[in-house]
Amino acid sequence: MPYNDGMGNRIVITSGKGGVGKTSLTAGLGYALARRGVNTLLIDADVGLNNLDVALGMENRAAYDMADVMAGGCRVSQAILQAEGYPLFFMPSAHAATSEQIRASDFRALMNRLAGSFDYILIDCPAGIEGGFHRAVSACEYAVVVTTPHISAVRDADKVLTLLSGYSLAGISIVVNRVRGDLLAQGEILSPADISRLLRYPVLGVVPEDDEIALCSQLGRAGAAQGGGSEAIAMIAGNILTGERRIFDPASRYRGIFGAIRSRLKRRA
Amino acid sequence: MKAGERAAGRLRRILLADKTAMPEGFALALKSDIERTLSQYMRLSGGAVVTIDTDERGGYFVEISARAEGIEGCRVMAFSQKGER
Repeated sequence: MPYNDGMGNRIVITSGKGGVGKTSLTAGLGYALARRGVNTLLIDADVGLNNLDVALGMENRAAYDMADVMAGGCRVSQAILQAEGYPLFFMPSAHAATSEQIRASDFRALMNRLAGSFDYILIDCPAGIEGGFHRAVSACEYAVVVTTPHISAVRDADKVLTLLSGYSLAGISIVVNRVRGDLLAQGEILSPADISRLLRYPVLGVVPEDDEIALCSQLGRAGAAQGGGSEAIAMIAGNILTGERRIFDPASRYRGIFGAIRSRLKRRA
Repeated sequence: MKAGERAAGRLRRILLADKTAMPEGFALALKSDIERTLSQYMRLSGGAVVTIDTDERGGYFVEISARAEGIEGCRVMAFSQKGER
């Protein structure tokens, strides 16, 4: 399922359940695309519990935000921040407004305006399936549903997918995040293949549990992570650009004799 | 069976139940009516066991099991007389 039909491809990153890594994935994916020279804009559509600015280390740089643009209080360019050294841009969420004050039609109109200036727009969707979800999804052509290999997260992802099927989206796929490779190798958790089969949607990528991503996000340096998680996210970016299906295997380093030793040491740690 | 397989089975049942949720009390009402109908033909010892499961297409499997000590004679005779006419 290629996401490269032309400029201004708008992808919503959603999940239903909170805490599965939507914001970290949005930030990491933004950097992964930008490293390939893709002009990418990140939008924080979470009004009230926004954190994408923190993950990007831009929390102190915003003078204007989405609400200011919609109200005509500033030019669009004044509300867009750029990551240093990359064609990665960010528009902060509405700080002073409430979710109810940001109308879906205004948000859609803004995204339509921005689409002509960027190759990809990634929209970090708020958790849940209320108004903020509809506002974000209705402005996009593609959806990526993030889940973890836990029953409660997959259950919520299923409910989100059911809702998404009611929108006229060009493509919907799944990212399985925070996968413990040692547990996967031993068959102790749901596999990405199981999740894809039960949810009946294709997997766009699998991201291993990686402390480095969380630590870098905490420091506002989402683009600095270099471990397996970063490699997996780079594969997702490649899949988005080329339509291929290269999927990171978190279990690969825990197979075989040395893998079993690694797995045992990890459990003892 | 490994924990991952058990989790997959459990998740499958949860997802199916979410998609085909029955109104509260539906299963109890169904059981009560089935027992009443069975009791018109058979002398039941104890109640009936009614299990309802869902399949991936959104359909249902209904299994009914009950134990009976005998047949309710008058009703059966009335039925056979009706059949002869």
